[in-house]
Formats: sequence, C-alpha cells, structure tokens
Amino acid sequence: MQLLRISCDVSELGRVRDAITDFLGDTFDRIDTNRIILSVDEALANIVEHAYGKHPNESDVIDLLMERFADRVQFSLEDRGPVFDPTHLPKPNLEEHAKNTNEGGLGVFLYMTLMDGARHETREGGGNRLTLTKKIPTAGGA
Amino acid sequence: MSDFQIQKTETGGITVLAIRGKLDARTAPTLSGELKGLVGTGHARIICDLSEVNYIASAGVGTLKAGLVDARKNGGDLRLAGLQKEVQDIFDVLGFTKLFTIAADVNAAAQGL
Repeated sequence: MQLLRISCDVSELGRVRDAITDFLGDTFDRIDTNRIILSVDEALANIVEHAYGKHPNESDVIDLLMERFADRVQFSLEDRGPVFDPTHLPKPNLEEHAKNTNEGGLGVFLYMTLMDGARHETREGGGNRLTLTKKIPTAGGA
Repeated sequence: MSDFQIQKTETGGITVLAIRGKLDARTAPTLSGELKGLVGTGHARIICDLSEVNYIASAGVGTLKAGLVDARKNGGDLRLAGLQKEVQDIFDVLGFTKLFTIAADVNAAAQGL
C-alpha cells in the first residue's frame, strides 16, 4: 500500500506516473502497464482541472492510495471538491468527436474502457473518492 | 519531467514537428499552440514525428485530432510518423487510428502530402 499526496497542478502528473510505474513493476505487460498509468493519469488530470476551480490554493490536495491485492491492483483518488460522479457521464460519440476540433472529453471514456472497475463515492467529510481497479492476469493467460 | 520538446523544420512546404517526451495534460497545450499557429499562418501540411514520444494521454490525442481537422479544413493534412507501440494502442482504443495517415517514418509520411 502506498499513499501519495498530490498538489492540484498538472506539473504533478509526471511524478505520479513515475510512482505508478514503480508500484506496478512487472506485474503487467507493457501495454497493460501503460493503460493503467494512463487511466490514473486521466482521472487525476480531470480532478486537477475541475475539482478546485481555476485557482486552487495550497490546501487543495489530492490523495492517491495505491493498493495491491491477490487478484487486482487498486487506485483510489480522493479530493475535497464539490461532489461529482464522472462514472455516470454519457459515453462520448467518438464518430462526432472525430469531426470536430474539441481537444478534450476523452479521458473518462479511456479509464472506463481500459480499467476493469471504476467506482465513485462521496468522501467522508466532503469531496470525492474515485477508485479504479485492474485485475492481475492469472498465470497461463487471461 | 521538463524534457518535452518540439523541433520544427520546414521542407518543400511541409512542416515537420519532431516531438520529444510525454504528451500529456501539461504539455499538450504547447503542441496545440504550435499547431494553431501553423494552420493559422497557412502552413497546413504537417507531419508530427512521434518516434520520440513514449507516452500520450487523451489531451495529446485530442490535440492531434483537432490539428488534423483544422489542417484538412484549410486544404492540408496532419500526418503521424513513428508511433511507438503504447502510443499506437491509445489511438486504437479511441478508434482514431483510421482518421490519420500514419507512416513508419517522416519520409514515408511525406509521400503525396
């Protein structure tokens, strides 16, 4: 189990990706390792952008708890912003998206697609907890 | 990590952006500004060399896709070269691989552009 306290700033994304890389080690193959790192990165980037408004202060932090169980790895991101459940956003229309110049709106779709579980809860004391899980492949495949 | 770089060269009306580093929510706005600047000044034939990009997040994919749409609207194209396996995987997941002309290297991407 590993806990990271993260400032609400995109400059933190690289440090967090490095920590996830170290945490995962060689549990997954290259593609799945990248997919997991990307999923947490997308979730964190959205929190940094939206949870605390345009001008977050020093106390506006995000906590990332990384846990390994026998069958899965689990990443819980906690913020203290207004309650918002991204897991119930409508799926983006990718064909429409392909035709326009919107640069955003794909992150939630990516982690909902690439992870095996995504759960939102209201955090005790206010805020949000988003938990992403990925099953560890069993020996011999799957 | 502050090793994100974009190196711009122009040959025969084609602009090549050699991008190095990780294309994420922090660095994508730099690329976005570069692409908008190019297309806005009539340089709509663009190749993005991603051979030195070892990570791309949705902000990076979205920026390249917006650049592609913009370039085509202005009579050009935005092509991709040298995608690493993990980067290609994210384009595949989004179904955006078929939107772009993707080539093994810059020379191949320049054919017919």
